[in-house]
Amino acid sequence: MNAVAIKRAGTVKTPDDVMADFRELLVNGCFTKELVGLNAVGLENFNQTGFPGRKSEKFTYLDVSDLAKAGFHLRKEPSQTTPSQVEAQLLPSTHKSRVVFVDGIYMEHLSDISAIRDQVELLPLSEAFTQFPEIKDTTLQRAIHEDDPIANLNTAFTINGAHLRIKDGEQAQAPIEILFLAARYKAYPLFTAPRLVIDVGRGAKVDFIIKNTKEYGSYLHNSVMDVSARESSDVNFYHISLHSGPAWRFFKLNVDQYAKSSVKLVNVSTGSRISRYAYDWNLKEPGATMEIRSLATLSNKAKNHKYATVRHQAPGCSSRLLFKNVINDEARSSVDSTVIVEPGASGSFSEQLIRNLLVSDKGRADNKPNLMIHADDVQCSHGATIGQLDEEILFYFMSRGLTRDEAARSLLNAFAREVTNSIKEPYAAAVVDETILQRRGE
Amino acid sequence: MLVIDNLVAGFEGMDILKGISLTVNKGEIHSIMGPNGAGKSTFSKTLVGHPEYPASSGSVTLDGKNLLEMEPDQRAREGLFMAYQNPVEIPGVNNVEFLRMAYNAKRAHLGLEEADPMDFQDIIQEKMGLLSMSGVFMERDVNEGYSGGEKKKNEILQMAVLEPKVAILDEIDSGLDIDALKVVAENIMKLKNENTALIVITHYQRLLDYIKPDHIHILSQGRIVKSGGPELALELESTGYNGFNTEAA
Repeated sequence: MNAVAIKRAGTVKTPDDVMADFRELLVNGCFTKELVGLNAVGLENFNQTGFPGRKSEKFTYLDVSDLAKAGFHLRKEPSQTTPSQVEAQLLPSTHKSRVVFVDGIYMEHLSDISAIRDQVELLPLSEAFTQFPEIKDTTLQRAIHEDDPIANLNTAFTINGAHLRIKDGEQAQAPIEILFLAARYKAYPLFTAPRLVIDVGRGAKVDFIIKNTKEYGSYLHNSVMDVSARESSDVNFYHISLHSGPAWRFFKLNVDQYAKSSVKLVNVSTGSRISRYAYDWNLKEPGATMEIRSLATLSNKAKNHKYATVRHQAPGCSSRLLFKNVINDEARSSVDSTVIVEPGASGSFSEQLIRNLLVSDKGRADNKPNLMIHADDVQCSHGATIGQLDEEILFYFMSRGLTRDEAARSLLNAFAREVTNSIKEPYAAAVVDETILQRRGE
Repeated sequence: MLVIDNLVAGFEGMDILKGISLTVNKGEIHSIMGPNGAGKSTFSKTLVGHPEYPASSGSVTLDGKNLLEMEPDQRAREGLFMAYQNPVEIPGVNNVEFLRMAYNAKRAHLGLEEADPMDFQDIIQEKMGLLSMSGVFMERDVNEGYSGGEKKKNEILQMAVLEPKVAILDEIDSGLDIDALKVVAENIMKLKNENTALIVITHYQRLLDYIKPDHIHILSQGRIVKSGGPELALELESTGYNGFNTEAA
């Protein structure tokens, strides 16, 4: 049997139920033996935190109760997928620099890093755990301290992931695309739990493109990426999550940054039934800089939630967080971000800004930018705005011969560009231009 | 030809314009002068269709077409243009891209092929050359961070690109120093031709040192109280507006 239910029919699972099922799955050999210890940590943590409810601090703005009722199934073996099916989804620049997951499981034979083999090493996580005990130890340590219940479900149910290492001093000669494919199963919604561990070496440079493909059915995407950016490394993530649909999408990014490293994330999404992007970011050594630029254009009844924690743990680090949301119809957005300047992190610079554009009367935006400062000599700011399209500007456009719809589309594009212009990889930028910027006013 | 007949219009339900009649022929320059509160801004905003300044009676036609039945964008495509006293800033919208959109909207209305970005570069370069404008305007967003003078120059650049039948210049001299006023006014005059009529709205006679009107109309308390030739500006200079408050045209 390839598919295993993680919910008993007609019931809402309790952590005890999940625990019982997990033991059953272990007995049935559904997991990769090298990762069972990691899975056990995730399940134990989930057992401690329980299923996230509205009283959970991390889920104040996001009701995920229907997850427990959905009757997800986990597949031990992914659906049959051919290289040509994979290639049809890739950007032209990443055919030979790709890491592919199907139904949440790392697919070694579908992945290809031949264009960057001199700079990058790629292994199944199970093999990395066996060959390099320190990778296993680091990943386990991170997992032990994970307090996000949904991320713990990933840890509990990940079947096999991937480990990527960018070698010291190397610059990846092509962007690396991380592609999540999921098949549609008519009989049940699928639970996918991809796991990726990335180690960017000292002085190394690399760009990642993370893409979900078009979704036709309902399924749960629950991915976790653990990233270490070593001294003076330079990393860009372009996370493009397009095509509104009935999926639940949960994405957790854990980043540890070391001295003078730079990590930037651009996230562009169009929302889905529920999308949650959680960022847990540690600026561990002096001079580390990070940036998140996020744009969500939401419509229908999409729910989109961002949850970010950035810790300044050393002097002279900087963080910039910009979350922008365009809210149409009855869509809902929430951003809950916290920057913590820990004792001793003097000379920190941080700015947080949440900007919402409410295009409908029924949309909703919740904002909670937090700042906790425990050090002297810091420069920090935080703020949030909610607004509508400026009527005087719309009139100005119209007085030059453009229709109100054309004016609105242009203004929404202008709002988006502050984020989309940060995508420096041309093919990824083109995808965003075509699907985000052109669809305005639909 | 723009024909305004007994136009009554206002703001928040109060009539401010109390029956304006005016005919502006092709190629003519008309100046509307008046003190604060005379109704000058209401006049210009009503003509271009600002929703907060609706007409309650009267008619306005441009080449026989009833403008008051049109949305603001339709009026613009028919050839009506207003250079704003305080143009809005539009962060994120590139100046050239904005101009190209407006230019193409008009071309589409005329049944002409739209200009692609390369073609439009040639058009904009020619207009900027005519107006002696810096290429910096092409790189910036619409009016964002512009000085008062730059904003006015940019309005005139838009006018040059859109080649309207009737251009209303709403206190284009406000906030300009003498040198900037001269540059803006000279640029306006470069665009004057037999097909474009200008309605110059101003408080002060000084603008008319550079833009020579064919007709001057004194607006007071929502009515045109006197019309005349260029000599009216000199009379106004000596008497002030008080001398015109009660005199019906």
